[in-house]
Amino acid sequence: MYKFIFIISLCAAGSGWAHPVSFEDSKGVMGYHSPVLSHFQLNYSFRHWFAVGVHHFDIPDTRANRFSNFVSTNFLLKRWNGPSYQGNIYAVLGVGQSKFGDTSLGATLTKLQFDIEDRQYYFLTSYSQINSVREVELQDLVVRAGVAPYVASYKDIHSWLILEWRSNNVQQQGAFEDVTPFLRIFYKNLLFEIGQSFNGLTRFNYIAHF
Amino acid sequence: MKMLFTLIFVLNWSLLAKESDSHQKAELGITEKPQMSHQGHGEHKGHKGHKHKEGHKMKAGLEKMTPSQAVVKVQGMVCAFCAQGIEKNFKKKNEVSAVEVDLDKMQVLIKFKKGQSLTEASIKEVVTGAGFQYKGLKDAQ
Repeated sequence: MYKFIFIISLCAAGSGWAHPVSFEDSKGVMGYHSPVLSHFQLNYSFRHWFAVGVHHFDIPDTRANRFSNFVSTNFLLKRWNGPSYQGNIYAVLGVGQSKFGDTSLGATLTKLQFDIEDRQYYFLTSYSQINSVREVELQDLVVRAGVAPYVASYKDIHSWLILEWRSNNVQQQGAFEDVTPFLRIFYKNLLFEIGQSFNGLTRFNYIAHF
Repeated sequence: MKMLFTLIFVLNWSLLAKESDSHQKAELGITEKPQMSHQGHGEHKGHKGHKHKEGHKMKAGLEKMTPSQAVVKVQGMVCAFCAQGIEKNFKKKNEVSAVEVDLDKMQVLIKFKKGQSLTEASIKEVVTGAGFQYKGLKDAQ
């Protein structure tokens, strides 16, 4: 299982675009990939407000391999079900291990996310942090806004244009900011996003719910 | 005598009007309104009522009927990706034969298997379990 997660996470991985808790009894596979940060996660939702997950972060570094693995509890802290919109606040708390070169340390993952959307507009912001027992290893701040060029029905293919601003602060590497326009397409339980940042980095994300 | 004729005429007229109304409803696809229990969690066994249909003799006594479908109003269902939960969890129910999600109207049509239905409590449980707000059942079935 660990090998499977690790292999998948090398070519895919993410955070800041998905709901860490979904509907009751659902399984989620989510990946975000970029040349500077990758994140892969599997979630199982026991309730619509509570899920457990496993995560793999891969943070490329020229000096040594840097990656982290966590098990997490994910919570929907607050949901607003409006007449034409939905808003959510999520929290993710994880414990695991961070590895940099030959050094392996105990670590924690914390994440807070807010999103709100209707059928045409979408806004999300999230903040993630990985702390090892020694230091803050990663700070990841994401702000996204999206618009649907057409309002699709339930069984149609849905398309969104999304602009993402992202700031990664990796220990000993410094901050890296980037803006990426994404094209999101989803159909039924499958979602895929692809984008190229203003710095020329290709990123792609995917989610599947079962 | 005149009074008797008038009474017979009024009774006939009211019976014809009632029959015509039931035909109109049938043409519009309107069936019996579901008798959803507002309390408890057990599955609904249907309600008792008379069956009026041309060419059929009215059965003596009362006949059990169940709603063939229910239209559920759901608040917050703006994302097709998230609405999967409602569809999936309704389909898990043995009583349900088909589910149709309508994002435009923010409602879900549940078709039941013959002679079966769900209580309103069960329907509400599925909707809230998927993380949405249950806004009741729509009148026309």
